Amino acid sequence: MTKKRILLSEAEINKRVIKIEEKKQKLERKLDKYNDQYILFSQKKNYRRSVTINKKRGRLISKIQHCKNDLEFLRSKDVEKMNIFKRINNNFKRMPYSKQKQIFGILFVIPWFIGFVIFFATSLGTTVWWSLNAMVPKQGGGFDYLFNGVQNYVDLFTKATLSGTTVLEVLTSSIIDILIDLPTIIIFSIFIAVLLNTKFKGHQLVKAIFFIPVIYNMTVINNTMSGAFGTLFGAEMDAGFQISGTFANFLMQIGIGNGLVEFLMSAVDRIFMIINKSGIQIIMFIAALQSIPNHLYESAKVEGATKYEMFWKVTIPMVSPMILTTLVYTIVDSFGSSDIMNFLTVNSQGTTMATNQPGMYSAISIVYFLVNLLIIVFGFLLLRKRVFYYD
Amino acid sequence: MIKTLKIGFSKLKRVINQFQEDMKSPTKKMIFRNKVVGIISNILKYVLVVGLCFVILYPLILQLAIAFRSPTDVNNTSILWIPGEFSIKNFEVAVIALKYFDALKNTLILSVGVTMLQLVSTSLAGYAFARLKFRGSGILFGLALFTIVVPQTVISLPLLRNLTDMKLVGKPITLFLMAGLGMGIKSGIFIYLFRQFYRGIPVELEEAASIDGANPFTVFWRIMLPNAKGAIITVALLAFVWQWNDYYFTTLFVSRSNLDFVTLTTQQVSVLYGLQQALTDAGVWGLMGQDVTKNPLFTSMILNTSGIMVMLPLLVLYFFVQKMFVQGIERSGIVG
Repeated sequence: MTKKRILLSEAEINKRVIKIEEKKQKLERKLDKYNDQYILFSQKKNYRRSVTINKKRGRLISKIQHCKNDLEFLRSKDVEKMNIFKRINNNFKRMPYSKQKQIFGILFVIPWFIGFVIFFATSLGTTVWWSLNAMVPKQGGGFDYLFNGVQNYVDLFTKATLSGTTVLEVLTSSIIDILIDLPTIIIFSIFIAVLLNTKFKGHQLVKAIFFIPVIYNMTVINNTMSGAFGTLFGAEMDAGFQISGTFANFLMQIGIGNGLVEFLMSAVDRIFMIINKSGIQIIMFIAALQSIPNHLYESAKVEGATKYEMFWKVTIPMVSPMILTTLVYTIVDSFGSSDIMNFLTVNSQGTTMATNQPGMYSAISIVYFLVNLLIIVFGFLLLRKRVFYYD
Repeated sequence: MIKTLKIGFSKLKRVINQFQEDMKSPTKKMIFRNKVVGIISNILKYVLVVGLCFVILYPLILQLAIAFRSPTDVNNTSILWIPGEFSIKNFEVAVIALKYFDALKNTLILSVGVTMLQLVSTSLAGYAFARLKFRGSGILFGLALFTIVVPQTVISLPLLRNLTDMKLVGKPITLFLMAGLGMGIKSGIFIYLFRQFYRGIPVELEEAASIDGANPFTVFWRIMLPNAKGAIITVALLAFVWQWNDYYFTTLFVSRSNLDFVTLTTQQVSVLYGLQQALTDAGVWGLMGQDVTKNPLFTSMILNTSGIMVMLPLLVLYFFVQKMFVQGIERSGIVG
């Protein structure tokens, strides 16, 4: 008996044994019938039929022998017993590859999805629910929930103040800040990315320096810059750079608009903030620039395009999907550091709003989020038609 | 003397003549013009780059200048950038006020662990969203993008309450859990980056491996991950840095209810409260007099020094990995 070892679970072996035994019994019954017929025909001396039946009998006997062999094999120790994991693995291997991919896709996403449900979805739902309730602190902790519809939102815009400023004022100033910063940051980071993407002497060092803002701790830096020493040094620096003031005066005198000069000066003042906010954006744009296939530039060159034309006709369309991404990232990031956060911070001191009026707190954060979303949708609609997808 | 001048003059004349001759042919003129434009734009580029580099490095230089200033020179106006005498007294005070080594250990453990877990969870999810499509994976990816858009402050209060119900607040394991389940700091962005990256790897590679009998996990482990070095380094550095600099999450979920668990950032904020004790321990009282903490310059100096001590390990780390990081970004092939 030379048969391959097969992998089976115990239950399956038993099933097979039963099946084969049933088959064997059936065959044996048939054999009995044939035996009777054979004896009958041979007594009648009908030799032709007895010979055919004899043949059938022979076949049956061999079949029964096979069954017996199978049974013997199944009961022997040559059969390797298989545990549940091996069985799953075995079944999995027999699946078509596309189905395997789907199963692994679900397996890979499950951890994220669990986290999403536990930490994100439930919390967001709770925030929405809280914002629709007047929450009165109970004695001994906890809150009484009193459903009052959009009353919190109405109060938010009519009553709530923080150190003299209303929510509406803070919100508008935050939005204006973002609308100014957004184009500046994106244009600046594209510009720097293009600059860093060219090869010049010392470009490795310059790149290393330009990515340092990514690792800056902004609270620490702000402490330094606005602390007593920072202002001292800053004043000293300004005295050293009087040339910029002179330049501004010169521009005013030759009749360039007051607004433009002010904008330029404020941009220069904010340059530090802009550089520090555009670290990630520069990274994203450099990655996008690197992925532009070189043959596009080559064919543009053959057609006689100048570098300026290449920038507008090749580079900008190719990085335009990334502009959309950075837009979203910049909005989310800069809203996180805007003034509205003063209403929302839950720091070690703990604002009164977070502890006493969770309803109001939730309402503010929902409004904050919606404004966020509104700006993103606005930017998205604005850019959507201009975005070019290469593939 | 006159002879050499004459020779020089004739040479110059020859050069000028040659130049005028050259200018007559349009191609040479073109080449010359390109050269001049190239040189001028190069000079402009260098001026710009050096200026911007200075703007970036300015706070660091400022911090170093302040940190090495001796406490006795606080009110000395004749000293500005270069300290009169180099002293590490500030560092001694800051180490005690920050509980530096304890905080450093905690921060390191947190950052390394969170980075690892975020890498695992986000790269798996990113790969699934890029290549292992199943019914509803598009919607789930939309939800993952949605988590980027929702600011953390919106969900932080109910989340804090939920975690308190689960008895998870005050233990660093909360942060690990959130990172491992893909809900750490800005995990959505990492998922997005990984997805974009994996989409850029040719499908043929995957098909070849699957024909050779690899299952999807083997394809991911043996083919996709080794190719994803650039994306992994980028994500790892960002995750590490963001966790290191994070104050909001760490305070909210751990340090606020567990005062023994200090990290560098949480200590940095409360360094002013610990200043008095630190001053006595460092023996600076004698130099300064009792009301030294009321001197805003002095507190500013200590705040600075503690700030630089918070950033110092990161800067050292960055110094070692920056080459890998820059190259990783360039080869990452992340496409919007």
